[in-house]
Amino acid sequence: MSIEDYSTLEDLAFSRSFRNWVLNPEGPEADFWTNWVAHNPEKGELVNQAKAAIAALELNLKPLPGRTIDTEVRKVVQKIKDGRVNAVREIPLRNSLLGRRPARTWTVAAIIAAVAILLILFRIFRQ
Amino acid sequence: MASVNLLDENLLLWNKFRNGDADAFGELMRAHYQDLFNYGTRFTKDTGLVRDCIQDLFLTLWLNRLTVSETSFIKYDLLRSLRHNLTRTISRSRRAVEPQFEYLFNSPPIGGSLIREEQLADLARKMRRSLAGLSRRQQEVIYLRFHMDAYAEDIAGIMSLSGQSVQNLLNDALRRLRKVRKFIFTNVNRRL
Repeated sequence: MSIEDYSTLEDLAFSRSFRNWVLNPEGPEADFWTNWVAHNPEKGELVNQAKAAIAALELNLKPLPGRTIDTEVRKVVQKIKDGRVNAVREIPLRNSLLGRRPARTWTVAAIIAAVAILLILFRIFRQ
Repeated sequence: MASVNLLDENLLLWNKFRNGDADAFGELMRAHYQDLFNYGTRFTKDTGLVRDCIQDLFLTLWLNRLTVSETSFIKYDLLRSLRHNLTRTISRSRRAVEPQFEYLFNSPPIGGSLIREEQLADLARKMRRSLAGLSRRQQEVIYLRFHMDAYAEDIAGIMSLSGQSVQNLLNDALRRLRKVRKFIFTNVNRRL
C-alpha cells in the first residue's frame, strides 16, 4: 500500500484500514496512520474531511444478537434436513420466480377449458 | 491476511454447500446474515418481513444448488436477490408505492466519542444532513460503497443500473460531501 494512494476524500473514507483507525484510534492500525498523518502535514485538511465523512456515513446500528441469527439459520437448516424445502414451491411465494408458477398453471387450465368447451359446442352444433 | 483467510473459508463452505452439505450452507448463511439484514432494513422497518425474505432467499438458493456457479463471491448476488425480492414484496403489499431506500432509517447519529473536536463534529453533522438530502438512489449507491465495500460494477449488478450511471451517482454524492467543507470555510471567513 503506497502512501500516494491516499489523495482524495474517497480514498480515505472508503479505506477499511483508515476507517478502523478513525473508529478505533488505539487499534492495530494506529501506528501506520499516526505515522502517515505525521509525514503528510499537507493532507491534514483531507484527513479531517474524511474523518467527518466517516462519522456522517457510519450508522449506529445495533448488531443482531447472535441468538437471533442462530434461530434463523437453524430454521433453514432444519427445513433442509427434514426435506421440507420443496414445500416452499407449494407456498405461493410472494417474491421469487417460483411465485410465478400458479399464474402459469391457471393459464394452462384456462386453455384446456376453452378447448373442451369448443369441442362440446362443435358436437352439439353437428347434431 | 484475515480477509484472504475469510475468502478461503467461504470458498470451502461454498463447495461443501454445492455438494449438498446443509450445515456448511447454514454457516454460509450465518456469515452473510448481518449484511443482508442491515441492507434489507434500509427498505422497510418491518424486520419480520426482512427475515422472511432472507429465509426464502436461502431456501431458493438451496433448491438451485446444482446450478449455481463455482465462485464464492456470492455476497453481491445475495444482496441483489434480496433487494429484488424485498422491493417486489413491498410494492405488491402497498400497491403502486415504490419502495424506497433510506440510508438513515431508524438510526440515531453516531456518538460524540468518534470525533472529539467540535469543529469536526459540526462538519460531520452537516455532511449527514447533506446525505439525507441526496436522492434515494444516491443514498443506496453510497451505502453499498461504504458499508458493503462494493465497487461501481458490483453496485451496478445489485441495483440493475449501468456501471456508468452508478459512477455518476457516486461522484455527484461525493462532490456534495466535499462541498459541505467549503460552506464551513465560507462561514468561518464571514465570521472573521
